[in-house]
Amino acid sequence: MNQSFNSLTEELRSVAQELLREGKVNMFIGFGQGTLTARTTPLFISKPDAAAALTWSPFCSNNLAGYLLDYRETNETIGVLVKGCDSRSIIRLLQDNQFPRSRLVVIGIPCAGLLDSEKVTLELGPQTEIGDVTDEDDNFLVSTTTGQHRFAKKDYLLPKCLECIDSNPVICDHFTGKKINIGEVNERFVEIKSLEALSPQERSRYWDGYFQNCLRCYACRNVCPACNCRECIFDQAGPDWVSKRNNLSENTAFQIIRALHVAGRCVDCGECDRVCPVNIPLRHLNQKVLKDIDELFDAPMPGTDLEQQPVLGHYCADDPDEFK
Amino acid sequence: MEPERISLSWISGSEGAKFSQTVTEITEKINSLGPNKKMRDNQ
Repeated sequence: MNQSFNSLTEELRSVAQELLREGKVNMFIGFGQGTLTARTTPLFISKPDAAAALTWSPFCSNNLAGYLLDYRETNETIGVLVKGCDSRSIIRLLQDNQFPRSRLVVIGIPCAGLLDSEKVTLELGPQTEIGDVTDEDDNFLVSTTTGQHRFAKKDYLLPKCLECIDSNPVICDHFTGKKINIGEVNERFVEIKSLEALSPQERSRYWDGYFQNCLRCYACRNVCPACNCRECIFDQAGPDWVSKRNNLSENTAFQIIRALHVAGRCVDCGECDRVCPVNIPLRHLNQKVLKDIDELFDAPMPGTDLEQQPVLGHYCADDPDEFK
Repeated sequence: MEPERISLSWISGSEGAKFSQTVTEITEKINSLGPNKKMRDNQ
């Protein structure tokens, strides 16, 4: 396919500029260049000329759909850039009436996977500046100030991207670039199956090792588009369901409650996992829930279809399970 | 946590005997397991 990311960036900039100039959106949320190698940052622009600062590359990892929640109470029309995985968040937010469709313009972009910026930075060194990136199917060819580097997707993509099911957005008003087909992807839930095969004691040891490090910084909650309660249980002074003490018991309760609170709303965008400062594999918790949804409800990944009722958000009289 | 400590039963408002029996069974099981060590750091 050999699609150049610079050409997609150009197309994206003109789409954003046009939307802002014509007043179809008051604000456009996209990506801008970060200050470090292989990093991008969310960019909020409200003037057409500022669209020149937008960028698109395999380092645009943030799920920007979550920022819509910050504009729930405004009258602004928001344009938001989404990859396939992020677009599932858009659908779930619309299904839950968390944001009005009339104030939303979705700009979709095809994504052949995101490069792990930490791994790439280790390889390139922190001083290297990254230029254009070309998708060569099995590799990304990255032009830098120190020459061209090839990164094999199987070694350098984020884990979630190796199991990608939506390389093209599932909902969008403007599509940037051309639809892509990334071909075969890895089997889903392989790690979850091996965790399920452990004894309760072994599984407890696995999670205790991570949860004892939890800082209770709530970065996982704050970044999560599915975490959209107006008042969060973890902020309430009472009742004291979970104390604010930082110890293994309370940290474990916090993480389990959070995973179950977003059950049916989590679309596996992997943002919690990405932002965790102590590297707790939070996707494993959410993926266990997603695996159960897949097996127990025989339902697709949440956020895949706007018309399909959310698994935990509807009732049907011909439910196959009886009241026992 | 030991899986035996967790139980889920569907009991309707009209099934008093079933409720009583279920609670008795769970209480006996928990007593035989002894005190829970996990998730008790606050105590």
